[in-house]
Amino acid sequence: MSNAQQLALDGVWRNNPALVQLLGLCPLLAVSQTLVTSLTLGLITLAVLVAANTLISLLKRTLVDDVRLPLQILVIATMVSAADLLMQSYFFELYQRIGLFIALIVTNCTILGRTELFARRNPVMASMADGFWMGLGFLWAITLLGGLREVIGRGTLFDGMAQLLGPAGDAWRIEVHQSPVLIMMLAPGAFLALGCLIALKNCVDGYYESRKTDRLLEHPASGESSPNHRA
Amino acid sequence: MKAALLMLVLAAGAAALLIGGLATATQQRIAQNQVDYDLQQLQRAIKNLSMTLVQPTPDSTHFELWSDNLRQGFLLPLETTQGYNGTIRAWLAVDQAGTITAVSTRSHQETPGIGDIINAGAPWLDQFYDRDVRYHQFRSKRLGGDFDHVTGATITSRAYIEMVGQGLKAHAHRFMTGDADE
Repeated sequence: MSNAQQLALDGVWRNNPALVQLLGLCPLLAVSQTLVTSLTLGLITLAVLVAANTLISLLKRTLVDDVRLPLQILVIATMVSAADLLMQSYFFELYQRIGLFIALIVTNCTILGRTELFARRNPVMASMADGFWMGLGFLWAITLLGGLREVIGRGTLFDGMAQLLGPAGDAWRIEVHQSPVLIMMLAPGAFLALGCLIALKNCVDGYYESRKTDRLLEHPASGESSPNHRA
Repeated sequence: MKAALLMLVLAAGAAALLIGGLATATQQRIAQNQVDYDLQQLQRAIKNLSMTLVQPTPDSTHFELWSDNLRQGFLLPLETTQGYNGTIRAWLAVDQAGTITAVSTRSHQETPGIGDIINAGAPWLDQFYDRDVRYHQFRSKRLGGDFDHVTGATITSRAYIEMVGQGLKAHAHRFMTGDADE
C-alpha cells in the first residue's frame, strides 16, 4: 500500500479520531443531536484540521521546541476564530444554534494531536493529506452519530437543513416516525450511540481479522502478514 | 530562549493581524445578519405580516404594532432567569386591550429535548393566546392557575408561565398609567 493510501485508511478507518483514538469527545457528544449540526461541526473541524496541519508543517523548520505547544494552540485558535467569524457572516442562523461549540474546536484534541504527532515532522503535502483524512474520519463519525440520534430521538432526518442550504433545505426534511425516544437527545443517548458505533466498528474489524486468519490457516504460504498482525 | 520568545511574539502578531483584519472585514455583514435575524424573529412573533413594527423611541425595548394608521398593539420583550438553565427570552405580542395575540421564544438554554416545549412555534405556547391578565391566573393548573405545565419540564413551564404573566401585568400597569402611551 502506498503512503497516501496508508494515510487515508488510517484517518478514515483504522485510526479514526472519533471511534479509535476517542479524541474530541466534547464536541462529538455535545453537538451530535441532529444531523445538520453534526455535519456543520464536522466540516468546520475538517477545515481547521487541514489548515492547522498545513501551517504547522510549513513552520516546522522554525518551530522552536520549547514553545511548540503554545505555538500550535495559537495557530489552531487563529484558524478557529477565523472559522467562527466566517460562519457568523454566512450561516448566522446555524451559528445561533451551535456557535458555542465552534470555539470549543480549539480544545478538540484531534487537532492538537495531529499537529503534534504528524504535521510537525512531515512534509506539507503529507500533512495536508493527513489533516484531510483525519478530518474526514471525524466528519463521518459525527455525522453518522448525529443522524442516528436524530432518527431515534426526534423521529426526523435532515431537520434544519434550511439553516445550511437556505430555503431549499426545507425539502430535505424527512419525518421517520412519531415516537421519539427522548434519552437519545440527552447526554446519555450520545454515549450510548457512540458506544454502539464503536462496537459496530470493532465487530467489522473482528470479522475481517478472522477471515484473514482463516485464509492464512488454509494457505499459510500465500499470506504475507503474520496472523498476529492487527488489521 | 531568545528565539523562542521572538517566535511567539511574531506568531501572536501575525495571528492578531489576521483575526483583526477578518473581524473588521466581516463586522458589517455580521451586524446586518444580527438585525435580519432579530427582524425575522419579530415577524415570527407577531404572526401577522400586515402589521408594521414601530419603535416608539430609538432606545425603547418594546415595539408598537401599527396597521391602517392605527396602533393595534404592542410587542414586549420578556425575560426570566427562573428556568432550569440560563435566561429565557421571549417576545410577547398583545393587542390594545392587553390580550395576548402571540408568544415567541427568542432564546433559551433549557435542556435540549425537554426544554423544546418552549421553542418558537411549539404547540405548548398556543395556550397563551387570547389570555388576559385580568381574567386568567398565570400559574400552572396544579397551583390553581389556568395553564398546563409539561411533566418533566415543570421548572421550565412554570418559569415561562410566570414570565408571561409578569410581563403582561407590568405592561397593563404601564398602559393604565399612560407611560407606554407616547
